[in-house]
Parts: sequence; structure tokens; C-alpha cells
Amino acid sequence: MTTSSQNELATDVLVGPDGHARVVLRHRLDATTTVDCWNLLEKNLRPAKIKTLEVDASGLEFCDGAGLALLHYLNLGKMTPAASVSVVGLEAGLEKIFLGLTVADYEAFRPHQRPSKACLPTEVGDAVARVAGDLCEQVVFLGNIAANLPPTLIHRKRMRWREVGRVFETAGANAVPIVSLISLLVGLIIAFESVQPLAQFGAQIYVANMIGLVMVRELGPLLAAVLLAGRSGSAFAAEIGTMKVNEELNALETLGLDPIRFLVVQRIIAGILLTPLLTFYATFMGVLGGVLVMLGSGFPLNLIFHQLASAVHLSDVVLAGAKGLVFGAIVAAIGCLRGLQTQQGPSAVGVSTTRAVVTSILLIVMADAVFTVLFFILTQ
Amino acid sequence: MNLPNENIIVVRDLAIGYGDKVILHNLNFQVRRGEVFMILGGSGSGKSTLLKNLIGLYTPKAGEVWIEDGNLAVAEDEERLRLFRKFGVMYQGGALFGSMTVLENVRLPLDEFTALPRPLKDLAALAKLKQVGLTAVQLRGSWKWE
Repeated sequence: MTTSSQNELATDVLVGPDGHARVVLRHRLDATTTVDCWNLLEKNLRPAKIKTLEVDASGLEFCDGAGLALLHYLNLGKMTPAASVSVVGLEAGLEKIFLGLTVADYEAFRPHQRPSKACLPTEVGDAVARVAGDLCEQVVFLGNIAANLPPTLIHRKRMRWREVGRVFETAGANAVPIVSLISLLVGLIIAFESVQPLAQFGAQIYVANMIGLVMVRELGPLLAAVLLAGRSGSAFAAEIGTMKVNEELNALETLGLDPIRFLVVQRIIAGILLTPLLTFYATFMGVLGGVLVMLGSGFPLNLIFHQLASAVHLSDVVLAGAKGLVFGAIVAAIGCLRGLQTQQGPSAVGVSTTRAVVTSILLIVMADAVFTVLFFILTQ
Repeated sequence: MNLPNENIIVVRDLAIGYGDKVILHNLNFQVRRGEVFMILGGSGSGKSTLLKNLIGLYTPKAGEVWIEDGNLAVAEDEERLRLFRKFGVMYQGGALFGSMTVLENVRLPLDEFTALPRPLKDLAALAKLKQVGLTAVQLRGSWKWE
């Protein structure tokens, strides 16, 4: 017989030579004492060849959920797989709870079959099918927007200009400080990094030409669009996604209101209108950063302006504006699409937000590449 | 030994509010073990604020909130954690952790505060789910259950 008494729990374990075992529990079986009891029983019962096991709980004065779990574990035969087990002497209230959990409940909660891990070709095929499906959805969504945009703009009552104004303020005006800081610093960093190598050839003055072209043609539109995707595209996805999770979109549809006309069109119009403005502002701040470095290098302001004017042409400014229009439409549309695609579940809105930002940035860079090639061909 | 009619929550001269504004003051009541105690009031009357003060999410402006043998209104560090382990809170929105399964949600306190072996923690959590009438079949349709 093995006896143990610690932390108010007394445990007697009797293992007979005939394969009959008896466990007597007395006093307090709680989350602390159960651990010691488990270790004792594992040591004495598991190695023994036990045919019948009786657990006497009549001496228990207190037993919590952890203690009951130990009794369940013994009763399910998990410690003595070959034995028939009986738990006796439980207080009436505890016995009712104890009998509430059956073997069937335990088995039902266990995963019946682990999903088998797919092989590499299957995973690649699934990924391709997902991307293709997503592209189809994007095309369908584009068609929906194209179908809804003209009638919404024509009918004044259908267009909620107040919502456009709200988006314009939150996505545009409120983004000015961060756009200012990042664009100024990017312009400043590029100019600073290029002044030193160009100084070796006495060509520092051409930093003005470079910063003008880089900011107007590429970085201004890109910075504005990426910041818009991070700040506002994600916000669109989160807003519409939360509405979908809360079944507000279902409510709109049962009211006879098309979510695309009611929610999406306003955001896309706001995105298209505000992104060129944000682009020009980001470009101006970036150029300003470069000008500050040039001034610090000792070049007079009129000379810097002369260089800028000779490098940047009207076509470059038009290109920046066109990029702003397209990038704004991409960010707003993708943000809304990902919001509408939100699934159910607690992490669904977060997933949609992440997908909105990643897809927007990917499409912005792809569109930028197309613009660059087209501009090169057109100006040849 | 706990007596059947003992007070397990005692609120004395409690004043609660936000910033410098006191919204409820001179609150005195007791809750006995096993008692169903209801706080009623109109929208915006301070029910949620009172409950948040009772469970230690907000610090009262004045007064005492006794949970059995400890005053939660002034408790700090270890004493505060000890009192937190004495009660559970059912939040209006569920407040389940979305990254975990149902079983893991129920098992979380056992994972964090006990040295119980994993099979016992699973069984204890299963028994609790069964006690409130939740079975695997009911959970399959809504939440991650495995």
C-alpha cells in the first residue's frame, strides 16, 4: 500500500497481486493537490497490470473541477486501459456533475480525423485557383462599380455627398501631417545621399534636377498612394468588414439598398478626387526636402528653381496627376472589395484589413510600372 | 468555512465617475453568497461604470469594494491578482479570445495558474462546457471547437 498525504489531501493506493486496485481519497482534492495525486497514481497504477480499479471518494470534503477531472480521467480508463473502473462515494451534488460528462461527450470533442497535409503540387494548385478566383471577383466588382457609378452620379438623391466629404476629411485632410513628414524626409534623404557622390564630379547642382524628376514622376504618387493604402484603404476594409460581420450589409440589402451604391461609390469618388491632391502635396513636400539640402550645400534659391524648371515638364505633372487618379481608385476599390469579402469570425476583419493593404500596394506598384512603360513609349 | 448567508461582496460609501466628474456616490450594498443581485437603471445611469468599478477595471473615487476578505478598491500587485482569481465576469459581448478554440478559452485559467497535466485540464474544461449544456455538435457550427 502506498500512502501519501500532502496539502490536506490523503491518498491511499492499494494494488493487490490479483490485479485489483483500490484508491482512497480523503479531505481536499483541488487544483493544487490534484497535481501531486496525479503523479502518485501515475507512478503506482500505470506500470501495474490492473484488472479492476475502485476509486473511493467518500472521504472527500472538497473537490473542485480539477479534482473531478482526475476522477473522470481514472473513470475513462486512461490510466489503467485494461481495467474496469468504478468511482464510488461521491457526494450527491458532485456525482450529478460527474455523471454529466460521459465517454460519448469526451469522444465527441476529440478531433476524429486530423486533416491530412496537402502535398506541394496540391498546395500550389490551390493557391493558383485562389488567385484566379480572387481576380475574377475583382473583375466582377469592377463591373459592379462601373454599372453603379454613372446612375449614382446622375441622380443627386442617390449620391451621398456628405459621406464623400467625410471620407475626404478623414482620408485626405487628416493624412496631411503624416504625408508632409514622410515626403519631406524622403526628399531630404534622397538629396542628402546624392549630393556627396555627385560632388566628386562637381555636379551637385543636378541634385535639383534629379529630385524634381524622381519626386514628380515616381515618389510623390507612390508615397501618397502607399500612405493612403495604409491609412484609408485599411480603414475602408475594416469599416465595411465590421458592417458585414454585424449583418448591417444584409440589412441594407433587405431595405432594397445596394451596398455598392450606398457604401462603395462614395469612397471611390472620394479616393479618386483626393489622391491627385495628396500626390501633388507629397511631391511638393519631397521637393522642398531636396531644396533644403541644396540650400544647406550653399546653392542660391533662384538657381535651384531654374534647375527644377528645366528638368520638370508639364507632361511630368500630368503623369503624376494621372497616377494619383488611378492609384486613388485602386486603393479605395480594393479597400471596399476586401471589406465586402470579409468572412465570419473574430479575426475576419483583421484578415480583410491586411489583405486590403497588401493587394493595394501590389496593384499600385504594378500600375506604376505600366505607367512608366507607357510614358516612355509616348515620349519617344 | 463559508456560511450560507455571509456577504461575499460589500460596497461601502462608494463614489465613482470619470476624471473630476462623480456620477454616482454614497453607494452602500451587500451581496450574499448564492444571491442573484440585480442592478437596474436607465440608459446612461452608470450601471456599466459601477460594475467596472466593482471588478477592478476602474478605480473608485472613494469608498470600499470588499470581495470576501480583500478591498479591491485599494488592492495592488499580488493582492489585486489574488482577488481577481476569486471571481469571474461574463461580458456582454462574450469577450472570447478569437485566436483560441472554445476549449482553450475555457482552459486558459488552468493553463496559466495551475500545474495540472494537459489531459486533466482538457477534461476539466470539457466538464464545464457540458455543465452549461454546450456539446461538440452545438459548437461545430459556430466556433473553432478543436
